[in-house]
Order: sequence, then C-alpha cells, then structure tokens
Amino acid sequence: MELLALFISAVFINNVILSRFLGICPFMGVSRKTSSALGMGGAVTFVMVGASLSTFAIYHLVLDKMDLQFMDLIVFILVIASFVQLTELIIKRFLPPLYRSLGIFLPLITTNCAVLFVALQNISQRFNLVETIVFAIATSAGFTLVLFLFSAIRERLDLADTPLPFKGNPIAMIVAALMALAFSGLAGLV
Amino acid sequence: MNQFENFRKGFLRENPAFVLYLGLCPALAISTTLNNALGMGVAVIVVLTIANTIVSLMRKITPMDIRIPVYIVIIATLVKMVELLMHAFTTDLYTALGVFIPLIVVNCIILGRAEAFASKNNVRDSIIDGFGMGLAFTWSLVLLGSIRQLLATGGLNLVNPFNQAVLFEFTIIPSEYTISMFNQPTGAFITFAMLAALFEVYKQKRMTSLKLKGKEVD
Amino acid sequence: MKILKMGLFLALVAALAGGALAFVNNITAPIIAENAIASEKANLQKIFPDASEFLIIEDFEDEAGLVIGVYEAVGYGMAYKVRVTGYANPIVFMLGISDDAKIVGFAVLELNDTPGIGDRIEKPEFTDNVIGKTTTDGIPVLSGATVTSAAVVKGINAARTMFNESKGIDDDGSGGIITPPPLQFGPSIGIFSTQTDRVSGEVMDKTTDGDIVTYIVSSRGYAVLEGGYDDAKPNVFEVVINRADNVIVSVSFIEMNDTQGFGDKIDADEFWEQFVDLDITDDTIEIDVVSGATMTSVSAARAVRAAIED
Repeated sequence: MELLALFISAVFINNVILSRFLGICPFMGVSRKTSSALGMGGAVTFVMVGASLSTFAIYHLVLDKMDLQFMDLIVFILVIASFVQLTELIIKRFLPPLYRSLGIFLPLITTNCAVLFVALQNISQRFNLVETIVFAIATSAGFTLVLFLFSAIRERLDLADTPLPFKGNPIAMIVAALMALAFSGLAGLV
Repeated sequence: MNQFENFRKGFLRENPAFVLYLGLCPALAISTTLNNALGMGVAVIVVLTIANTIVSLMRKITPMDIRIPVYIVIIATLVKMVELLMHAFTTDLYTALGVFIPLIVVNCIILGRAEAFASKNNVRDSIIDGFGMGLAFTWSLVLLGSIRQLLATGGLNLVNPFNQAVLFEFTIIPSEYTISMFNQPTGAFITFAMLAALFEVYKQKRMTSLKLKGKEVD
Repeated sequence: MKILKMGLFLALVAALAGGALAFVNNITAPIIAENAIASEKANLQKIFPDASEFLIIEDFEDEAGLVIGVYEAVGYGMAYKVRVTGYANPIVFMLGISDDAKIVGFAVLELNDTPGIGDRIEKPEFTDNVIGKTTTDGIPVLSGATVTSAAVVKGINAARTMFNESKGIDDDGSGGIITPPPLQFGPSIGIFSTQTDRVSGEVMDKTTDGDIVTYIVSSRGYAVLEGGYDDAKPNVFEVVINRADNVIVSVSFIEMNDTQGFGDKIDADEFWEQFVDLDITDDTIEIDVVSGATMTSVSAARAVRAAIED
C-alpha cells in the first residue's frame, strides 16, 4: 500500500506548510477567515493537480525525449502561470464572491512554492502517473487542511489580547510553530 | 527617490522577510545553518541583480500585457543557470539547499522588484536596487540562520563552498544546553516570530521618535 | 494582431533564454557528471582495476528494486551497485560484468550481518562461486548463511537480468539460486548425557520477561576443543526457555566460531527445530547431530543444558 503511505506522509508527516515551509505566503495572507481558506485550498488543489499532470506530460513526452531537461524550470513555471490564469478566469466566471475574497492572492498562486515544488518532485522522485496524481492531491489536501485549521484559530486570535509587537503576523507564526510541533508528533504513522 | 535611502530601508524598516513577509519559504527552510543561509542569500543576490538589470534594459521594448510572463522566463533562466553552476562548482552547498534553489524562481521578492522597480527605472538604479534588496534578504537569512544554528548546535561555522575549506568554526554553548528544537520547523517559526516582533518594536519606536521630532514618517 | 505580436515577443525571449541556458548547461553538465562519478570511482576501480573511464548510467529500471546504481566501465563492462536486505541489515555490494557477459568483480561495500555467518559472503567460499560465472549460470547459496547469501544472489541476479536485457542475452532461467542439499543428520545425543557432562557451557547473560527467560551461553566447540586454532573461541548461542511451561522456546547462533563451512552447517532450520518445545524436566530429551559438524552440534546441546540448569 505504498500509495497510501505516500498520501499519509504528504498530508500529515511531511506537511507542505508545517514541515516543508512551502506555501507560507498565502498561509499568512489568506488565512483570516475559514471560508476564504477553503476557497484558496480548492483553487490551489485545482492548480496543483492540473499543473502536475501537465508538467509531468510535457517533461516525459517532450523534454526528456529531446534531452532538454535543463529547460524544465522555465517550462514548468510558464505552465503553472498559464494554469493559474485559467483558474482565475474560471473562478471569476463561476464563483465571483470567491474571486473577490481571494483578491490578489489568486494570481499569486503562481508564486506559491508548493505548486512548483510538487511539479519538480514528481520528476526528481521518478514518480509514475498514478504516484504523481496521488502526491499532488495529497499535498494540496495537506495544504488545505492546515490553511483551514489555521484560519479557524486566527478568527479567535484576532479577538485575543496579543502583546503589541506580536499583533497580526508574528503571533500567527507562533501558532504555526505550535501546529508544526503537533504535526511532528504524527511522524511515527508510517 | 534617494537611492541610498532605498538601500537602507530594506535592512530594518522594510525588511523583506520580517516586515514585508516576502520570500518566507526559503527563509524558514534554509536557515538551519549560517552556511546555508549565506549560500542561499548570495544566490538570491546574483539572480535579483542580474534579473533587475535585464528587466530594466528591456523595459522600453517589453509589451505591457505580457510583461509578467516575460519576467518569469528571465528569472527562471537565471535561476536554472545558478542551479547548474552550483551543481557543478559548489556541490555540497547545492545538495544542502536542494529543491530551494529552483524555488528561487517563485521567491516573491524577485518578481516583486522586477515589477515594482526595474521595469520603471534606469539600469544603474535597478542594479543598486536589486543588489540592495538581495543584501537585505541575505541579512535576514543570516540573522535567522545564525540564531538557529547557535541555539541548536551551540556554535557557528562557515565553509568555503568551492573547496570545502573551513573558514571559521567555533562553539560557545556546551552541548548539554543546546536546544535541538531550533533545527525543526517549530524552532524556525518561533525564531522568525520573535525576530518579526523585534522588528515591529523597532518600527514603532522609530515612528514615535519621528513623530515627536515633528518629522514625516515614511 | 496584438496577441500575435505579444506571443512572438514571448517566444523570442524564451528562445534567447533557452539558448543561453543551453550554453551554460553544456559547460556544467560534464563537470556534474565527473563529480558524481568521483564519489563512486574508488569502488568502481576495485571491480575494473584496468579501466580508466567510467560513466554513470542515469536511466535504469530494476523491477526488483535492488539495483541502486549502474555504471559503465568504458571498454571493459558494466558495474552494478546493489542493495539487498540480509539477515538483519542492508548489504550493499558492487558487481562487475565484463562485456563478454562474465562476472569479473564482486566487492562488498556495506555489511553489518552476524559476524562469522553473514560475512562469509566476502570470503572465497562464496566469491569463488560468483566470479567467473556467466550472466546465466546458477550461483549456490551458503548453507549456514542461507538468508544472507540468498539475498545477495537475488541481488546478483537482478543485476545480471539488467545486463542481459541491455545486451539482448537470452536468459532461459536455468540459472538462479542453487539451493544446498538437505541436511544430513548423524546419531542422536541426549541433552543431559555424558558428552554434555564433561565440558559445560557458560551462561554469560540472562534476561527475564515474565515466564520467558533468554540466555546467552558460551559453549566450546570444535575450534577450542580439537581444532587447535590460534585464536579459537567458543560458540555463543541464544537459548530461550519458558520457565512456566518448562519448555525450550528456541535456540539459535549468536556467534559461530568453529570452522567455516563445517560448524555453520548446523545453522539450519531443521537443526534448530529439534530443540523447540523440548520438555526441560525430561532428562531423556535428545537431538540428532549434523553429520560433519558433530562437535558443533554437541556444543549447542551443552549450551542448552547450561541454560536449563542455570
């Protein structure tokens, strides 16, 4: 059941935000309300899975065959940028409130380290198609999970009496530290 | 805008990592040791400076609507070159920084400066801006990395990445008192939070003192 | 029209970028390859001492998942780095196959198995049966080090299969693992007999877990009593006894210090099985010795007696 191990480790043990520090920018920026957190998580999932499949296909069918592996970074990031544009158009058309609430962070998914990371890992870890899909879904699930938990905590945090220097982002970092500590306890799962 | 002022801002008032919260992914992940922090910082300085130069050189001919993908291609190319060069000439550092070298592409700082500054200013100013921002970011990484390494292992060291010669090495905290948590994600977040709070304190103090003097706060 | 212009511009930028990148890539790629080989060069040189140029083969597929590195010794053959799991720990070795499909080198890089047992794969008794073999011959496992040697042979076969596939050699499957013939037993001796009386085993350590007591017993065997070797040492056994039910749970080797190829014959399931469930209150219990390894078999019996009587 290696796929299951891959899935669980990507969601909990090597969680993309709390363990690998990827996707922190939206983590700090979008996570003030649970609804926008879930919306962001959904958008990232769509982009991550779509971009992973596209980059996987392009790498194995084109770059590898033509010995152009060094072009991977340029090609991947352009594919991701295009996918994000596509996602933006779709959300703007079908879910306008979400489009408004995500604001600038929607196009910023392009610079979300997590998306590029997954695309690169799929290649460097020599995943096959199924493993790629599982890894992309698991990583975005882990991202969404942490984003959602964090936003729930932050809704309360904003009302708490925080010391002045810590108000806003620093105290959020402390919360992230505690969450990372909690998730690291899951390390023995697989 | 006074170039020197701009240069200075990045270090404290508008520190990209601790005040603007940009480029966090590598900041937290790479800052386990001083060596790695410095290595990553220099890589970012190189990419940022050259990217700013090229974007500024091309600013008159780049079509508005397509500028972001163009900047992305330029930055991605530079990052890949840096990656290949590091793989060949500084192999140990390359292995230590791992996937975060290609991830420099999505470091918001670089795209941000290209869009906000280099596309609108001449080459000389853009070079200084890129170099300055890179230096400020490196300074943030070094701060984070030194503290974490000091607390987690008790000492600091620096190695020449090209030939592994040890440049300096010292231990000041005995090993019984080291807190290995600072090597972990939790320690990274906590150190970052503390530093961010400190920067906030500095910002507030400066604002109050400027207001008291009747000066403008920028 | 505007979109076309923009598209062309982007394509132009990408092409220029790609060109510059290809240039840098050409400069760095050989250096990177050289660095990667350098770390493995020492090992490769052991296998192909005459070869001077080595190449790393990046793309390889091993269904068994045992081959972890493939290298070409230009003009001489191929080398395969293989990792298998032995008795307890991973074993990493390098196998060299010459261009004419013969195994020319076998070097163990990492080994952490039971001393006296697992490390026999480094000795001529095993390597003589590996080097010189073709890529389709069978390779015998070592009796007494079955688990370790079988794992290594599996790894060797994985490498050979890759070689055969890459060169188009037909493997009709007549090779593979040659299993040793079944154990020959000799006469039986009682655990509490005179043979175990004269010389006794020594309990060196004892751990109790409820009713189960595990003894580490040192017991002199052939090497000490008759072999007359310079640094002859006694064998060490692990004897596990259930003191509530008064039966032997298991007996096994910790250290086999008798003659290689003889004493380790008893390290086989059919021998150890004889001890399982023997009633320690019954003083007529007996086991069959392994022919050709009588003294080692008796040393096992002595160890068991010492544990029982502790």
